[in-house]
Amino acid sequence: MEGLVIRNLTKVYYDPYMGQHVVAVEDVSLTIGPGEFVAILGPSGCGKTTLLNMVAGFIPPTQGEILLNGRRITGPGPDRGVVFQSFALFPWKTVLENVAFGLKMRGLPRPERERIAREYIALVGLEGSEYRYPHELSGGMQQRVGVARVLANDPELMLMDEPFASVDAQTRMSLQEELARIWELRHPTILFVTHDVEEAVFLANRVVILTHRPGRVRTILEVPLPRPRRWRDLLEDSTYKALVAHVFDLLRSPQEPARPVEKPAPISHPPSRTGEPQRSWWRRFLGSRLGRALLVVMLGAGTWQGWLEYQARTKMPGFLERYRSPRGTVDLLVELPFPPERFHILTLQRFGRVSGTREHAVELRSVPLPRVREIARFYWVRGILPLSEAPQLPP
Amino acid sequence: MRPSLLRTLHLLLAHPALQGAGPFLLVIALWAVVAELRIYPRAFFPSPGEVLLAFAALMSKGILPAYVQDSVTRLAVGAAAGTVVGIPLGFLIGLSPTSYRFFWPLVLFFQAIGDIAWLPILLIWFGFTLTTVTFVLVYTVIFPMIFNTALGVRSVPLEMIRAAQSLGASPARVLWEVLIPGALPNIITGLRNGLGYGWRALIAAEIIVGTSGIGFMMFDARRSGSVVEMILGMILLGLLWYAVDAWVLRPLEQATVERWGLVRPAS
Repeated sequence: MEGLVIRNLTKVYYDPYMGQHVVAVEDVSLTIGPGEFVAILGPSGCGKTTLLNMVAGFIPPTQGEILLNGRRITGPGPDRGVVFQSFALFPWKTVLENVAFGLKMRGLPRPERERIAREYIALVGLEGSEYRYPHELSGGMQQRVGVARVLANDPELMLMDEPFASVDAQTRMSLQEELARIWELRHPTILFVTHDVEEAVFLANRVVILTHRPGRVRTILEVPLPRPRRWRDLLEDSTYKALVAHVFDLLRSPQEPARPVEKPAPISHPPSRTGEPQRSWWRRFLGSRLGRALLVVMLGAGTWQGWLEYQARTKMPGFLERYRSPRGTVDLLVELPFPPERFHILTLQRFGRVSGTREHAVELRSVPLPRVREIARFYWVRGILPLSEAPQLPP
Repeated sequence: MRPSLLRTLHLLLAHPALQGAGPFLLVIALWAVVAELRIYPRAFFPSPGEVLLAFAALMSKGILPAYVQDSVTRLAVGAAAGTVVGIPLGFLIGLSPTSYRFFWPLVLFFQAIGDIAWLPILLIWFGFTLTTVTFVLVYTVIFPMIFNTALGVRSVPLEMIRAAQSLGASPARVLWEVLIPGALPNIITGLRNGLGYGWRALIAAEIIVGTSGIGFMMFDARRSGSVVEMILGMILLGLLWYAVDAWVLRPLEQATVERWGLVRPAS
């Protein structure tokens, strides 16, 4: 069986705030053929989004079944792409990465998926915005990305949940025309949920009208309007006007469905590069403040270590040569430029036994030979002598 | 003065680095004036110059670098351990209701036992060692990380997860591509809080456990009655936190959550 088949679908859920079970969708049966554009129309809260969520596999039905091209739907999958009212773009991904997301999940190599993604970005008219982030786009542009993201994944069924409800009226009309154009071009199978009568009539081949809670199929209307459909032509069209009036009568909605207020497009700052490709992550990292700081710190630390190493040699004038064997211990006099304090004695104790202190030196016994250099590397050590060569103190 | 000189002077003064230092210059000037007025004995209230001299002396003797290195290393180890344990645990609690029911009461209970409250028993168990200090630090860092990560996971919009699923993402890909970046603003907040609390806990632990570190230096100065070293320690604490913020936390925020528009830029 080709296309989408919905059989006797019912959804009952428990409302914890009302403390009762609510029937959201009741005994809905519907068939959508391949390449068909079907709109589901109903007042707010009639269960049309619940219906779409079940088709998408986000929530399980209480009764009934859904088949897509003969396969039973048990969960979300890439065969059904969803365009959300809230766009649901990934804010941490550029437009290109958002559109290429489904292809990435399929394991396509980067050049291939970026080529396809660019194609669909062009299809929705967003060339030049490939490297922008979603927050830098207007609402209408964001939803174009949402549509391109689904189209690029080439689903068997496209589910649209009031996709244009949160953009302003002008943008909505142009997005509707865009969608009509894309459908006329590629004939994807679309299930489109809306509360907007004009939108449903303008876009769909068939309009399914649901009753208010519980949602049941009230009527299914064919839309005999010719394509290509453009608002400019339809607004004066008598068939269109009669259809819209008829649907309004059918709905007989007591309350006007509330329409979300359009949020103004956020002003993007700082303005991002748009057309040029991104640099690789490590070059971006080196260009960042953190990267530069790390670079400076590492260069500085390296220079400092080199200087300490160089100094360490001058502090041990040749006496190590006499101790060819790497094993064994030596007694040392560690000279300091100042009277030794507790810190210095504690630190030197890690290398040997401190047997006494002098005015500007510490006597350190039984130091393993390989560790003498470590002592010489302390910048507060002025010099090291074998204790035997040191001037003897009067007793 | 020639206009070009004035202009150069103005440019120098308007440099962002100097603007950041501006408030501090005022405080230091005030401090210097009070010290010079000799309202308090010099030994109790040293001047900025004396603190600077103490800084130079402690640097040349190698004491200060060693202690700062000890403290900062401990903080880094604590932060790393807290991140490695706290973030996965936060994800577990945020994602699985079962583990939430199991871990949440434990987390709440042990969070109430503050870091310092552990010190008496830790001193019995581990003595005056680095283990004690590390335990206190990791303990302090871990809880803000768990809390904020769990909160971050739960605040990822459901529709974003659904969008990824209906584009073919497996649970592992949803975690990597959606949940982790989506929880990042809260994770960074957790890191900021954790490091902030950890920094304070570290100094407290060093004062009590003390063998080295800035906290130890400050408490050790009490024995010799060196107010200069105490003030120097306090200044260093502030400066080091400033550096952690400017070099680690802020760049992290700018490169991720601010770039993605998840939070508004700070300035």
